[in-house]
Amino acid sequence: MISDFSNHIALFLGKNLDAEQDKIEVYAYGLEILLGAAIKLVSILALAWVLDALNTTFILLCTYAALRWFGGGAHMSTYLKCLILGTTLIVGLGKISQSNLEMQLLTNLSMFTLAFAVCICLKWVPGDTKKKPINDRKIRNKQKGKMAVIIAIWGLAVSYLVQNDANTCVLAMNLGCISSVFFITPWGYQLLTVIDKLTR
Amino acid sequence: MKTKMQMFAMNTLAAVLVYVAGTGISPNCWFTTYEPNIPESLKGRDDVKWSRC
Repeated sequence: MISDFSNHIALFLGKNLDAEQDKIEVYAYGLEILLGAAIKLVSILALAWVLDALNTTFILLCTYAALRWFGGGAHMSTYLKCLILGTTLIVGLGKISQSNLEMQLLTNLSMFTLAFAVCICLKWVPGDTKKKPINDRKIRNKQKGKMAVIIAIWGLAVSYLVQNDANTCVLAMNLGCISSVFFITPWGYQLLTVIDKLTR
Repeated sequence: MKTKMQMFAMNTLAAVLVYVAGTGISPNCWFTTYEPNIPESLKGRDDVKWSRC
């Protein structure tokens, strides 16, 4: 549906701007990405607002998105599945993040998450797909470097929040990081493949 | 004047869409867990050499 809508808008835009067919395809592709992300963002924030977990969900989403931008990861086969899975996952984890855990436990969890993220960065980043394979070693190393910087920023932000006793924010950042890097691992790819097959 | 404004708006939208499409074919990844099919015209671009290695 989102694809058809994007094609219609792109065709309308192309006709008015006298664009060639190639350009219209590019408009449609750009629009599909933009609309897909916007609809998902609105769904996540609206559901989080309804469930009264907007703050933690927003922090979790920012962490998840920043790590996924450079790290990549597994994808679902259709937009609807992606929307349902993504919204459930992000808002669900955002709601869980409201739990008030002890700071000592959160500090240990943060150290585990940092070690987990570093290992995955060294081993599997960037997580590519069939549609967008990344085989060039230089580009792979460059993405690893960018991901390492994001993990370092994540570590600094978490240690600042730990010092300021922001328990729920620390948990949200941990869960956002774990979920994002998990989808870069082969287990993350396998999990999404299984969900894809089960929901066919 | 109205037509000029419309053309300006459409040109701006087209430029934004081309930019977003460019980010879509880069090694970076959007936060969504769905990837639209990359158009053939974009696969041939020089800055997507990674996809042909």
